[in-house]
Amino acid sequence: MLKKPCGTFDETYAQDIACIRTPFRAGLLILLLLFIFIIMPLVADDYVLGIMNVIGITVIAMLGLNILTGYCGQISIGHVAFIAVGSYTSSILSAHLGWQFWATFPSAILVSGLLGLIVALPSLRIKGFYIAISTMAFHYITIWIILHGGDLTKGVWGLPCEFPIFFGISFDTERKMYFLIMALSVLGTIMAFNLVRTKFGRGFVAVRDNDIAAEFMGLNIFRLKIMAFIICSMYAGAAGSLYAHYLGMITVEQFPLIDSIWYMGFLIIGGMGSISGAIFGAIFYRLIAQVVIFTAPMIGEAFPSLSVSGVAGFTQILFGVLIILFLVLEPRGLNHRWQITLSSFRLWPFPY
Amino acid sequence: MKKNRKLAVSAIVLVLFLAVFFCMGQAAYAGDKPIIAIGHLPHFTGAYGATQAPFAAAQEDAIEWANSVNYVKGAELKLVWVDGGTDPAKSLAGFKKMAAGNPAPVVIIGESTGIGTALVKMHAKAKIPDVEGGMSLAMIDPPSWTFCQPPPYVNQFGAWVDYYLEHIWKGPGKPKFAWLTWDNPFGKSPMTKEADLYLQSKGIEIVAREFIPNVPSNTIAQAMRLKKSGANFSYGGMYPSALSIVLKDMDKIGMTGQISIGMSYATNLDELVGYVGPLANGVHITSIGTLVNEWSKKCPMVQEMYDKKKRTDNKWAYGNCWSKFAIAIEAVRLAAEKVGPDKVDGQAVSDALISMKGFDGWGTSPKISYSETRRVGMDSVDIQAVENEKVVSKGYTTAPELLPGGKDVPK
Amino acid sequence: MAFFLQLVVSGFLTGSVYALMALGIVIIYKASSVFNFAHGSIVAFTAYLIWHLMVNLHLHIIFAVIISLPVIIIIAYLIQRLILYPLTGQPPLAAIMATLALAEVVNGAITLFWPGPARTYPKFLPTGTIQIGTVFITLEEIVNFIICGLAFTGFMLFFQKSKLGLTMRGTAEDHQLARSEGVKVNRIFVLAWFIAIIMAGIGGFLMANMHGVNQEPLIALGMKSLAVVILGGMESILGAVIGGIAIGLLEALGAGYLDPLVGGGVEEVFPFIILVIILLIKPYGLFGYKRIERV
Repeated sequence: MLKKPCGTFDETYAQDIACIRTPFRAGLLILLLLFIFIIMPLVADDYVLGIMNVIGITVIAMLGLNILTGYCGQISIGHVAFIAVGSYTSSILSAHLGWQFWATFPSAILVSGLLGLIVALPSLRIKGFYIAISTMAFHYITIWIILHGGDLTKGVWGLPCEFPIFFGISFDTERKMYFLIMALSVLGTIMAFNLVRTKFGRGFVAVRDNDIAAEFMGLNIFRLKIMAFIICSMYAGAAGSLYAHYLGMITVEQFPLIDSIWYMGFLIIGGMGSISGAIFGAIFYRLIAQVVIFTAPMIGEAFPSLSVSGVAGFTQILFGVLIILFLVLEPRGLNHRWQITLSSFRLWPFPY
Repeated sequence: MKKNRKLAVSAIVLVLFLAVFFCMGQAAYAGDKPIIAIGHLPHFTGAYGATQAPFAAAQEDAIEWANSVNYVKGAELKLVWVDGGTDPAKSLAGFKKMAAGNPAPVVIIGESTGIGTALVKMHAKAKIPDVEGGMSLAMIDPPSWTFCQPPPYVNQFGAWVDYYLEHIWKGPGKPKFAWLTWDNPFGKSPMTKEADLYLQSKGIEIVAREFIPNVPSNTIAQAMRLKKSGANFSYGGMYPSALSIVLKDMDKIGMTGQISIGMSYATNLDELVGYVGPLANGVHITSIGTLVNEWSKKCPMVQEMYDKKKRTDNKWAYGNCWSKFAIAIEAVRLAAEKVGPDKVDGQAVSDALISMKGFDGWGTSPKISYSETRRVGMDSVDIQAVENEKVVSKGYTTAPELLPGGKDVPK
Repeated sequence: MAFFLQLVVSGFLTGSVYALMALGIVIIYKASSVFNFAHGSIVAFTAYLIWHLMVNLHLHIIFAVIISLPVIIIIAYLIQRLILYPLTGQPPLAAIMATLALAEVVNGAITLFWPGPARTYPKFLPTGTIQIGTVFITLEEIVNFIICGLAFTGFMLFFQKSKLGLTMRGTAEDHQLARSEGVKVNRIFVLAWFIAIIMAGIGGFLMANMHGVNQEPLIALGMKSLAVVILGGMESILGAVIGGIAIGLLEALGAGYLDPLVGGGVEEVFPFIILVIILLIKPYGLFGYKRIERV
C-alpha cells in the first residue's frame, strides 16, 4: 500500500481504514474533481471533451478488466464481447421497446453480469492462458449470435440507440454527455476502489497470488472467481451501454477481437492490480491514438518521398514502437512509475 | 537500472508533451482565396488496407485536378485525411480530429459500411455531410447527413437477376438461384425479405444459401452442396481473395462453368483474374465504376492524372475513389454557387447534395440523384464480366428499387 | 458418404498447414514461455518478403530462400535483443503484450513496403486434380501436404537427434540449469525465434499460394494457430500437429453438417465450441504438461 508521509500516525482503527488519510490528499481529490467537473467544461472545446468522453467510457471498461485480471489473476481476452453485450442490450431495449437510458443502463449491466456468470463456469478447471482462449471462444460465439440474431439484433445492419434523456433534457451534445460519462466513471472508480478493500477484494488478490494456497486458507475460490467475472462483465456492460447511447448507432464491426487484446495490453502499460493503473491505461490507450493521428501529417512532410499509404504504415509502426518502448522501459506499468515519483517527492530530500 | 528509469521518465514526459502540444491545434492560414476543406476517412491499414491503398493516390489527384481547372470558382480546395485503420475507435478519433480542424471540412468522404453506419449520428451532430462509399439501411432510413454512393446491395442484386434472365438464361423453365456470399455484414447485406419476394415474383426458387467465412481456407462443403442443389446462378459479395478459394474448390469437384456467379461491386475482377486465371471466366459483377479501359473515352481527366503522376496503383480502386470525390466536389461547387465560396459550410453542402440530380461523377460512374428522402445514389449499375481472362463491360442496367417500401418491391 | 469422405480429406489437408504454423508458436513458447501474438503478422511478412525477392528482384525460388535466411536471422536477433531480453524476469504478460505491439510494427512495415492490393506468386507448382474413388484432391494440396510433412519430419529429427535440438529442449525445461551447464540461453532464444519464423515462412508461403500474398487473410490464419496451439497443449509439438489437423477437420465437418441447420458461419465458431468442451475435460489441452502445483 501507499507509504504515508512522515509524521502521520494511525491512532484509531477508523484512521487506519480511511481512504483519504491526510488533508493534503483530500485537497488533491477536491482539486481533481473541480478540474474534471468545472474547469474542463469551461476551457475545453467539443473536440477535447469528445476525447475525454471516450476516455471516460474506456476507464469504466478498464476498471472491470482490472478487477478480473489485475486483482483476480484471470486473463480475459473476451472483454470486448461483454462490451458488445452491453451495447446490444441497450440498443435492443431502446430501439425495439423505446426504453429510456435510466432503464436500459441497469438492464445492460444485469444481462452482461449474467453472461459473465456463464463464462466464469469453466474457470474452476481451466487456468492461465487456457481460460484466456475460452473467453476468446465466447467472443466468437457472441459475434456469431449478433450476426444471426434476425430482427432482434438486425444482424449486419446495426441498431440505432437513443441519446439519454433526463427530465426532458436530451444528452445529445459532447458537452452534455461529458457530465454524464464523467459522473458515471467517477462513480465506477469509487466503487472499484471500495470493492478491492472488502473481503472479496482481498480474496481476489489471494486467488491471484496462489489459488491453491487461497483454497487451503478456507476461501471459496470458485465463488471468488465467479464473482470477479461477474463484476468485470458488469463494468463492461456499463461501458458498452454508455458507448451505445453516446454513439447513437452500433454495428457488429465495432467490437473486434483485437480490441480485447489491446485492452489487456494497455492495462499492463497502465499497471495491473491498481485502480490508478487502470485509469492510466485507459487514458494512455486513447491519447496514443491521438498522438499517432497528429503525427501522420508531420511524417508526410518530413519524408515527402513516402506515399500516403506509406505514411499510414509508418504511423502504425510508430504506434507499435511506442508501446514496445513503454513495456520494455517500464514493464510494471505507468502506475509503478507514478508511485515512485510520488514517494520521491514525499521523501525529499532523502533518496529513500 | 538507474539509467533505464531516467529513460522511462523522459519517454513519458516526451509523450505527454507531444500530446499536449498536438492538442493545441495548428494555426489557420488563409490565402487570397477562401480555403474549403474536403475530408477523407480512408483505411490504409487494417483489413481494408490492401484494397484501399490506391485511394491515397486518387484523393490527391482528384483535388489537384479540381484545383487546376478551377472547378469550384473562387475557392481553393484542400484535402484533409485521417487513416481510419479499419477500426471504429480509430475512425471515431480521426473523425473528431477532422471535424475540429481548421478549416473544418464541409464534407467528409467515408469508405466503410460498418464505420459509416457507426458515424451516422456523429455526422448529424457535427453537421458535416458524409459521402459514403458503403451502404446500409441505418444510413438512409431515416434520412440523415449520410449520402451513400453505391446503390443498395439489394438493388444491385435485382439488377443482376434482371440481367441474368434477359441475357444469360436460355434453358426452358425457370432457373434456380443460390446465395453464395461472405458471412459478414458486407456479404449478407443483399439478403433481405424484399430480395426473396423479388425472386418469388419471377418464379425463381432459392435452392441453396451458402456462406463463406471471412478468411476461408477450405470451402469444399459449400461447393459440394451448391453442386448438388443444381443452382444456375448465384449472387453475393466477397473480396477476390475469398472468392478465388471458392472458385478453386468448385474447379476441384468439376463444376466450373455450371453456375453463373454474380457479385456486388467490390469484387475487383482484375485482381480475381490475377489469382485464378481462367477459372474467373464467367464471373459477373454489378459494378458502379466505369470500366478501366474506357476511362479515356468517358472520364479523360482520370486517365490524364493517372498518366501524369505516373501512378502504378490498381486502377479499379483508383477510379472508385475518384467517383466519390467527384460527388463531394460537385456538391461543394453547387453550394459555392448558391451561397458564395466564402460561406460554404456543412449545411450548404448537404442542401447541394439533396438537390443533386443525374450527376455522372465526371463520367466515372452511373448517374446519381439524391433527394430529401432518397439517400442512395445510383439507379443503375454497369454489369461487368470476365471473358477470356479479360474484364468487359456489358452496359448499364437499371437497378430495381428493392429497399423496404421501394417501388419495385412485389406486393 | 462421398460427401463425408471429401470433407475429411480436404479438412485433413488444410489442417496440415495449420499445424505447421502452430509449430512456430509452440517452439517459442517452449523456449522462452512467451505466447507469440505476432505470429500471424510474421507469417504475412515472410510471404511478402519471398514475393519481393522472387517477383521484384527476379530471383529463383531457391535463391530467394537463401537470401531470406540471413534476413530472418537478423530479425530474430533484433526481436530477442531489443524486446524480449530486457523483459526477462518481468511479468510474463508484459512480454506477451510486447509481441502484440511487435505485430503492429510488422503490419505497419508491410503497409509501408508493399502497399496496395494482394500479390500473386508466379506459378511453379503443378496444377491439376486427381480423383481417388469419389474424392477429389488437387496436386497443389498434395504438394502442400508433402512440404508440411517434410518440415515436420525435419523438425522432429532436429529435436530428437541433433545436439543443438537437444540443447534447446533442455533449455526449455529449465533456464537456470541450462545456463549452469554452459548453454548460452540467449542464443538459444534467438535460435528458437529463427526456427519459428522459418516455420511461419513455410506456412505463409503455402497459404499465400492459395490466397495470394495478402496481408489480412494471412494474419487471420496466423491468429487461427492460437486456437490450434491451445487445443493441442501449449508445450507439445505433437499436440500442435494433432490440434492443427483437428481444427481443419472440425471446420470442414462443421461447414458440411451444421451450416444448413443454423444458417451459415459455423465454420468459424464450431472449432471454438469444441475447444472449450475439450478444455473442460482436459484443462491443459490434449497433450499439454499438467502442472503439479505446490504451495
